[in-house]
Amino acid sequence: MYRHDPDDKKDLFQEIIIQLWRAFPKFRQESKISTWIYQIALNVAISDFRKESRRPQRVDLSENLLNISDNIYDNTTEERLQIMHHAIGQLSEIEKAIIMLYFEEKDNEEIAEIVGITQNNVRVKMTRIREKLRTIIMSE
Amino acid sequence: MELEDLKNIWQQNQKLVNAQQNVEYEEILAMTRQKSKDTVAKLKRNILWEVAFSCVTLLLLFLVFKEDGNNHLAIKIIYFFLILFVFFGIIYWREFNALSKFQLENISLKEALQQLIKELQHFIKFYFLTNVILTPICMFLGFYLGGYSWVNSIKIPLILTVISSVPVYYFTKKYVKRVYGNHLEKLKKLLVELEEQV
Repeated sequence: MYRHDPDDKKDLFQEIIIQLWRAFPKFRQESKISTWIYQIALNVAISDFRKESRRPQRVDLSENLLNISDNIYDNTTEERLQIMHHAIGQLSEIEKAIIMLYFEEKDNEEIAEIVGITQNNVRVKMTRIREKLRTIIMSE
Repeated sequence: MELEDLKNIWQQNQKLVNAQQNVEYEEILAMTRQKSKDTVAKLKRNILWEVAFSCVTLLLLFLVFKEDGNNHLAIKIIYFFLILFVFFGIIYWREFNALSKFQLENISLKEALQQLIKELQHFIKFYFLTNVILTPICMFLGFYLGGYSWVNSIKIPLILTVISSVPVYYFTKKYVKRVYGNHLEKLKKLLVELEEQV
């Protein structure tokens, strides 16, 4: 969601693992372990400081699906995935974080805790994202 | 296609991705031993490079003037550089320590952005000021040293320093903006979006 290039994805994954490893001794168990993991992963993904690629960002489906073998998806699924990735690609970094947490079955309370906003704010942002995605998909 | 459809597609896709991506324990363990490439780690590396560069410069200066042991001016210059090095060394060390204490753990995305912005703003100010102060001093000494045998007054080296410092100031400003400023702007925009009142 935050990286398209396979090497960038690998780097990000590695950075998240390093940060989780470092932070684990300080994990206070005040929140769920999944909340803590998502917090660190999102903090790393969003605040990452890297040189902007000079190459135009091309959203390649095969790259986005982490090179899953070709025969797994039929045409319809692939088309739906293509639409989904394109639509999510249009969202801002914050919106991507919120929608990803929603897709991962997190409730508003947990999303609010991870992102650091009120539950009411999460609800409003979700409504906006829903509208935005609908507009993007309708225009496809 | 509704949001629930997208959610189902996402979850189906994630199941397939997880099934295909089997990361070995050894691989994870190897990753934990790697150096971090996050913002703070990069800032710390930047400080270490600056200190290393200063050490090499000081060493070279010492080697150049070592041969000319009777030259009092050269000895004075070396002492001056040494004092400068120790003084700025302490400042750099304090900054390095402050960065080492910085952590993004157990905090929400909003808090992480706030802290990172604060830290980056502080670092930019520190980096800019140290460069803007140190460069003219080194330039003046360079001009003075380079020409001390034919110039008896400090006026010419001083004028040359002032003239050269103007482009250096703008270059440093542009460089800092390019290296850190754009990232800072990106973080600020993200925070504004998060803090947006509904």
